Amino acid sequence: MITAKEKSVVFYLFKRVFRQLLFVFMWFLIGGVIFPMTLSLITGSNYNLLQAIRSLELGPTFYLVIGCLALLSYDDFKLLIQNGVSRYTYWKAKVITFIGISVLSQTIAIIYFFLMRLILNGNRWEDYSLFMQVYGGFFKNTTIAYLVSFIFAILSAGVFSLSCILVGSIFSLFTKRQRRLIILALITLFIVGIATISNTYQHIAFNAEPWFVNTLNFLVGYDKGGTLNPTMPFIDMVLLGIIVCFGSLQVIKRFKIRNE
Amino acid sequence: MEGIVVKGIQKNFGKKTVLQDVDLQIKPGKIYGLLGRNGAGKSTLLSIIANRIFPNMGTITLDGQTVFENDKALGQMYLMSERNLYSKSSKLKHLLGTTELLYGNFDYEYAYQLAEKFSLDLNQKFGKLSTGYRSIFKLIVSLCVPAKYILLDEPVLGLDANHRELFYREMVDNYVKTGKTFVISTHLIEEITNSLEHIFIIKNGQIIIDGDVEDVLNKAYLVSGPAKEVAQYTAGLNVIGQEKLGNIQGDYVFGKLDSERVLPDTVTVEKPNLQKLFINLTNTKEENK
Repeated sequence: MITAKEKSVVFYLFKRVFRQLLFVFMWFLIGGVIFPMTLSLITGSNYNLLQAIRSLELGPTFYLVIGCLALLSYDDFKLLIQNGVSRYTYWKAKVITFIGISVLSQTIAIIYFFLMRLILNGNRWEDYSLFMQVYGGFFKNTTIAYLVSFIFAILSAGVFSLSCILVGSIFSLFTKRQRRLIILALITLFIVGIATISNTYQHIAFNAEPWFVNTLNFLVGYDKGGTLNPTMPFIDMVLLGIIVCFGSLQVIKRFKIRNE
Repeated sequence: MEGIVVKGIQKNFGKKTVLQDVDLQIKPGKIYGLLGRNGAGKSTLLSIIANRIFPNMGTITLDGQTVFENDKALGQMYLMSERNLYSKSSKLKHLLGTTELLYGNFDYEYAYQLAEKFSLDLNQKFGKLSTGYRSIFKLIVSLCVPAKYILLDEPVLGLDANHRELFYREMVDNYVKTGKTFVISTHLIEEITNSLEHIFIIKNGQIIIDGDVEDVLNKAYLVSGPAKEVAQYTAGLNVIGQEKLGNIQGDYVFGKLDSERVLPDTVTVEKPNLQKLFINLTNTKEENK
């Protein structure tokens, strides 16, 4: 059930995100195709336009860009609260928008991938899909394997963007100064963490506890027989999607206009 | 139609209490003034009413329904505040389009007329406008949006005298034509007095006056004359302020005068204006000395 106001907010957000996506995509094309082509014209080096078009990584690019766009929350909130839109409606519209745009972009990326494969003898999907590499062997039928991996690619893109909404919303609770400090702390923690881990396990073998290994096996669908069940990553994704969705609602409900 | 009902609102910022037990009612079809000194809690109260920030305690309802997280209620209000919530990179005409999309039935024709009157180019970006023109843009939106309750927080910030005059005229004209309710929070009391029907005076986070302008002014008196006679006449009355010039004294009294007392020939009783009343009601003891 979606109200007229929710429809309007979805329309507004979808249009805005789609525009931003097109803008980033334009720069992606300039950086990935036009710039190397211009450079080859200047330097006289070999440049294969067909190869560049064939190997455009649309899926991962959309994945990342949409994730980054989902991180931005406060500016939309400001404009929407100015226009009499509640936080719940904003959250609902944002979730719908990003799921929609993830589905659309990944579908376009898959179609592009296959068109390139058919027309320009482009890359094989299975070489680029982690899902196909890990779970592809489970399926007897190649078409079903492809179909399932497409659905997984679309689902994971949606869940990734929802996770980014949650992260972006948490950051939106803080002022600019606080955000800078948090980012600085996280970067420091990451660098120190990596250094500590690499120092520690240079001398000691990494032995995970059985409960940890068993949990990981369960989550990836690995059984003692040595087979990998592709149902588990789907269940994991759906559960993660529900958790981040609920989490982002709880965070967005706490949004307020900041004194900045 | 009971309008907006504010009940028991309390708001703390850290250890500081900004609003305390605020109760008031904004009935439809009136022009209200929300008057208070800097830091009295006016903007906080309006932000809470428009669901921009949360109160620590209390409720706000519009025609019996809570306004918190209620699109229907929020869609009937428009808060124009000092804070700029519009994107700096957006063109003004696009912002009008967004308002139309989210509120519906935006009066474009009127908006373009007002833009022309205020000499505002709607092809500009919001971020490129001066403080005054940002206020003008927000005022244009507030007059053209189909919301029933228009909350204006310092609406004439940065506007020159001509633009302020133009705005007051347009607001009263809009009020007569549409019957919208306006709540105006301002420091420039003298300019707006004639347009106000009802006032709330807020002091230290509490509503100290809630009444129709006429009724409130009817309770206010300026008793002036020789200091000794004035002091004798106003003894025991609610003297809220005092002015002295040599031996001449003026006492501001709020409340009933004693009809039993004989007014000396040398003493006169006048009606102060709203600004004078406001100043005396909200002055601190030190400022009154």
